[in-house]
Amino acid sequence: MLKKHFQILLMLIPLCGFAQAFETEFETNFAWEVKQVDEFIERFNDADHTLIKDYNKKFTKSPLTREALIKSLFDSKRSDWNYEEVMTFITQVTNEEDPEYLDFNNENWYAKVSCNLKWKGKLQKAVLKLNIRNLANGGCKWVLTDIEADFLKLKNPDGTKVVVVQPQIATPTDFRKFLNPISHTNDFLEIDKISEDAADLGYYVDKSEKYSDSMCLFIAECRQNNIKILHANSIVYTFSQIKGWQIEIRQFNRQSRNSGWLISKLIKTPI
Amino acid sequence: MKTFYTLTILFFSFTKLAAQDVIYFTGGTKIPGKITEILPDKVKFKNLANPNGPIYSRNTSSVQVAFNSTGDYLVFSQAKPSSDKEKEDFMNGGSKARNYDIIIDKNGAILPVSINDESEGELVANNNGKDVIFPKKDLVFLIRKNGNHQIFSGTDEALPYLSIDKPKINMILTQGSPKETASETPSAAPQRQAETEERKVEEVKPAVAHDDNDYVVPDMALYGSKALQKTNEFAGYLQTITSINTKREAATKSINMACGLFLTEDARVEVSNIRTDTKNKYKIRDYLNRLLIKSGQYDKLIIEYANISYASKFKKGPDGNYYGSVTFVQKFQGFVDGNLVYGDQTKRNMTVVLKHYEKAVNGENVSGWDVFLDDIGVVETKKL
Repeated sequence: MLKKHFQILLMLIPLCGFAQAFETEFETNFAWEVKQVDEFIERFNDADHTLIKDYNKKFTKSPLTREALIKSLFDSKRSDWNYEEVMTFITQVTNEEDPEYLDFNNENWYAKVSCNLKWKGKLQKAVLKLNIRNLANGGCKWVLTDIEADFLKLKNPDGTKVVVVQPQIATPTDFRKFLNPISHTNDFLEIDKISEDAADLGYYVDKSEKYSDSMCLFIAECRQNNIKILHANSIVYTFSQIKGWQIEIRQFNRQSRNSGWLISKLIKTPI
Repeated sequence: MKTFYTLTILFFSFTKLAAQDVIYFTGGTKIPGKITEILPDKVKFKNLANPNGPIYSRNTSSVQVAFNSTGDYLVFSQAKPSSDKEKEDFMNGGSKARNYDIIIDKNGAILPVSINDESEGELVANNNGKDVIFPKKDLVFLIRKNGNHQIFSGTDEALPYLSIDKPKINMILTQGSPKETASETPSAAPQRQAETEERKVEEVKPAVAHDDNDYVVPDMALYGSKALQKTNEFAGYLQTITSINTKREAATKSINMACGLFLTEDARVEVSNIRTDTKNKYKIRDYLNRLLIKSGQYDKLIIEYANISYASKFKKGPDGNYYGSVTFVQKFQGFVDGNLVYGDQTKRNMTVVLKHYEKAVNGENVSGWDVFLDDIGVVETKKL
């Protein structure tokens, strides 16, 4: 019987030499770990036939409620949560009359990717902001929308800010190159492609009428082959899809059921 | 003696997409969806990229038009709202036999035709007994006899035609054959005589970037066995490459075959080292060559996989291919004289790509999907 959604189940010969208890603990931690941002969205939305629900069925007949799932998405190791706010948030999104969900294809979320790069041969750090852009063919891709970096805060010798010129970025009509829609699952392993070839910037940079000063300088430096992005170090995702709230998620690598991509910040925002 | 546990069972379970609607929004976006309810001020629908996900709701002011799988459509106009009957007919869109395709050109002509051939820039169709070439740049939209549709000019430009011409289009759709619609005027767009005898396609047509309605969305369950085959093959090649009994030529051949499983040889494998706490990226061939060299350092090598993993849903990319990701755990142990000299447990994410292809087989165009592996990243590495 076909399942209702796309799912790959990989079943392999069990690890040899592992004690039964460790194997069970390993599997439990793996099942509970929020391994990808996609899994975060699935759990937040209480999607059917997820790994955690299927795994949970092995041990209990009580199904996991949406409230329980969303609670499990908060970093439980953080001790200074405003629990009243957390419950208000959970109550709001699980409201039976008007529930709220996260949508991968809703462009109101972004990734901030801390990277190592080289500028004129010297190692530098930068934070690249990436957004999902939906396309006419029903597909989507990640694009670079902004950048923050100390080395891009250029000043004239007299201390005044460097005047930047808005660059013209031609958006290619073919799709030979792009950051594919699941690049995030590999922690943007291919982020170095952005600076690989100055002629290809249009494939990766979002089309905009007005770029920030940092982006203007970044694009100009890329065009002079002065910048080489090396790799991503860490990522924070920010979702602004729930009315009156912003949530930040980051990765917590630890051996516990509360691990993986979890809510690290819950911020109230004006509606 | 080296040991390698191969992958045993790989299940892909997907859904065959139900008859889908296509919903066009203001701002130029569209999604494949299934409209579940149409209210005076809201449209509710499921996103078929997440068929078990929530029901979404959008104000009708942000929806331009929706097509169902039979080619019926509904224009969402504040000035001229659809009647309840029109909404009901749209929602109930059952299978309707159509004998022809309908094209609307920029002169406003509505033409029932039979499309015989198509390329990136034009259609060749039989119009009233005559084969005519229609340049796509002169067309506004097309509704095919199989219910698929294509908007050529952009939704904003097509909307007035869709709205004003709906009664005529409905009339034509309910009639029997093109010959019974002689009242329609032929398009004023330039026409050229096409060859009336049947053409033989000798060359392989390139895979044209169609509107997403023209690509049949892959029935993922059918490709489960192909994905299993590719993954098992890769595991088998790794076994051959790392085995101390393998001769150099056989190992090289296995490296070549393994690379063939990947989308391109630019696919990269991220490698971490617990000693240096760094991550490096290697193209797949370089990775496999390094593995061959590294395996020579040990007289026993064990690579194992955990019996639980997670897979994301597939997402469509700009190129029309579908991209998914699998998270799994790999254990690597190298022994010298029976002693473990290096061991790590690595959590990895592997990209899987469903790629569309078209080719000529015995003079007929055949299209389908194939499965490829792509980048393999590292989430976390721990020392054993």
